[in-house]
Amino acid sequence: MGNIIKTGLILATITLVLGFLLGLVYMVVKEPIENAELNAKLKAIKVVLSSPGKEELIIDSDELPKNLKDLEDRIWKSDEDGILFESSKYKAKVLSPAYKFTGKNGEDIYILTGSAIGYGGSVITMASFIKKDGEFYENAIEVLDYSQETPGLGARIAEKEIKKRFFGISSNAFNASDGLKVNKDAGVLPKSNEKEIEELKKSGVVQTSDVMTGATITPRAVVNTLNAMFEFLTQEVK
Amino acid sequence: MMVRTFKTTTAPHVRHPDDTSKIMRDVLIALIPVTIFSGFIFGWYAWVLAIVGVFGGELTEYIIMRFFRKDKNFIPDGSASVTGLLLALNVSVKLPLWAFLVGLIFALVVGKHIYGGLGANPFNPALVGRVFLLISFPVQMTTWVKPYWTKFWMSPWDMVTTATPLAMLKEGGSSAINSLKISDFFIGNIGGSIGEVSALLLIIGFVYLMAKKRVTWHIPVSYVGTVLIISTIFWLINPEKFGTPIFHILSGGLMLGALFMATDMVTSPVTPKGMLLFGAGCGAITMIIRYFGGYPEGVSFSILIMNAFVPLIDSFTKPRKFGEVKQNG
Amino acid sequence: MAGAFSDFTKGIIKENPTYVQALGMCPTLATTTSAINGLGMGVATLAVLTMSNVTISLVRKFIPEKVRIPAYIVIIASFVTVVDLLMHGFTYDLWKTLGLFIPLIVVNCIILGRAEAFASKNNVFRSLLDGLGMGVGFTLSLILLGSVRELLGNGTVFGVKVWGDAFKLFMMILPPGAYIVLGLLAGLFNFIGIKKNEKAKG
Repeated sequence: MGNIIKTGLILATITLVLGFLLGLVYMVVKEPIENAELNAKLKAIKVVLSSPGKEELIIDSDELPKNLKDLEDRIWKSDEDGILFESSKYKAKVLSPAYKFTGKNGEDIYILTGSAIGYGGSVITMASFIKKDGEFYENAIEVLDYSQETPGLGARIAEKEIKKRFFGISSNAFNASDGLKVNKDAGVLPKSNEKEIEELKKSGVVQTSDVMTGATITPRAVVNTLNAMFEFLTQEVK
Repeated sequence: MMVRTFKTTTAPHVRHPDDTSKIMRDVLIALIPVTIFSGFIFGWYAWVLAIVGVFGGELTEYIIMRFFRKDKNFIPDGSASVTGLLLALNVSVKLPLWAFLVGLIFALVVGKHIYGGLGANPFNPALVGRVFLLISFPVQMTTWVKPYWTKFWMSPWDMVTTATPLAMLKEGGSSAINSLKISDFFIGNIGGSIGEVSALLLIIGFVYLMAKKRVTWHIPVSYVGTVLIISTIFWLINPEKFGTPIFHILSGGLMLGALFMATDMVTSPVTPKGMLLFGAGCGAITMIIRYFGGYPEGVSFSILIMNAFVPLIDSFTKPRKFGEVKQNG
Repeated sequence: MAGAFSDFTKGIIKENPTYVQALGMCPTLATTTSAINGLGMGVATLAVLTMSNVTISLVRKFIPEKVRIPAYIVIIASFVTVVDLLMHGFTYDLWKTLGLFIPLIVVNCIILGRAEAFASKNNVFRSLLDGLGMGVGFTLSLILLGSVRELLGNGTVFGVKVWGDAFKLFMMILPPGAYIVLGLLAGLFNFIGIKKNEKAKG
């Protein structure tokens, strides 16, 4: 009996000491972690606030947030539970917070973050929407988290050439039957030249099957996230 | 090192004039019609691939045997040319020659000689090569040219690309393939791998092999039969989505696979019962991949998967020795 | 001193954890899509392995036989969490790519294996060398595997262009490539081992 208590005490001591150590390390790295997360976010915001495929910003460069305070000033909507909107139709969420910027010509630009289930877990996407003549125009996207997607297949979603396929989508495309789709789901065979691909995009079809052979689930998650964001925006902004 | 022993059993001994090289010669002859025909359909480049397959295969094997396995008495037995030719028939004409050679070397090195050479390889080397190429060069391997009748002087780079019927079905539903006639499949008027275009010529080649008693009917019949049954069931459930049974049998290299790839002596079961089981497994896995998988066609994968089960099937269907009492029976 | 030296070097070739002992296959296969990922995973494991070896060797006399495995697991898991937090804070991009595989270091057999087979029986100094040696061996293995796969699959090594787009075997980046390259490299290591033995015998 005494032996069991002694064994238990030793194990408890080890656990306590290590728990204390963990707490110490956490306190030390808490700030760097927050900084790293913030920097990643700021970088992503810069990307979606640039005109598609170019380095040029669509807002004045001093409008660009540089630290946590700048970013917090830009919050348009936020929610304590972390979720602003959940689309049952597209099975995607819009995450809190959402940001609002003013463009060079005074137009409203909304930056939303959303998530949908990809191949291995959540795929988190950030996208910017410009409000033009009462219509929303999706400007650019950045994929923030795709760590559960297959390397070489779904994980290629973060490649420049592939992200480009999701840039510049008009509200007509979102309003097309059942929203935006990847070409495999829409039943459209891949086109081979840029012009035809752009035409497809206008009709609500994003072509990915040629650049991401064998991966449909990841781009589908991104497309559904964009659909949910569009649904959210049309509902919230009159 | 493993020591090979050769045990002589008691008489009577059967002498048989066949050896590996004669069998391989017959397989090559059986593939000649479809190879020649493919050149007329896809252009001269198909012939280049076939010739490179045959001679490149032999050369690769010779180099492996002489310099890596240090066998001074190596005499080519023709099995490498069969692998090379089958690989050539299993790729798209859009595949560059260097990529084809990489696939061929991979097939012979990793698919065959790593396991100990002919007779010791569990997987069909040509299919190992094809699957390797399919995942390594997805774009070149799945860009298909539209067949042109009797324009063999055309090089593949000038040809119009098209999707295979199965890819059209997967991405567009039945309506996408309505324009195709059954006769197109039979005589070879569809996009696809070099050798999968004409079911008719493949059957002719197979009949020749059967007449020569090199193969039996079991694997192809159970393979195609299983596909027929499964595709009929699914077709009855939803004709718009799944396509007709006859379409499934004639497309996606199923004929080539069932007749020439699954029947490879080394990598298929030895007993008739085992062969029937093997063919049925291939058929079922093919259809599962076609209906529910990421790739539009599943012939190569299904045969490779079933290859892995061959030792199990063999031990399961081992005939009883004369006089042996069934255990626990 | 020669003994101490061999405690360190044995992990690199002779008892290489990956190619000879075939331990810790899960992170080996999954994270070596590029050389830099292999390096990151290897160094993370190296750190955990060294720290856990030293700690376990230090407390080996206090831990009762019956609960040694839970005790080891608690120690290892704590160090993994420490490494995970540090990487999250200081190497954010790498942390993102390695994702789930850092927490999974806990169940890497190399670490528990070395704790049980070596650190629980030897003094702190030798355990430190053993941990370092095994860790370095594991890291080098992952770098080698990652480099070969990255070179064949993407034409680059450590992101530096070698032949670039001219020759890419896409398969090498995918899981089958991991198995094939691992098999070939394990064969090569065994071949070297056999040749060395033959030479030693004369």
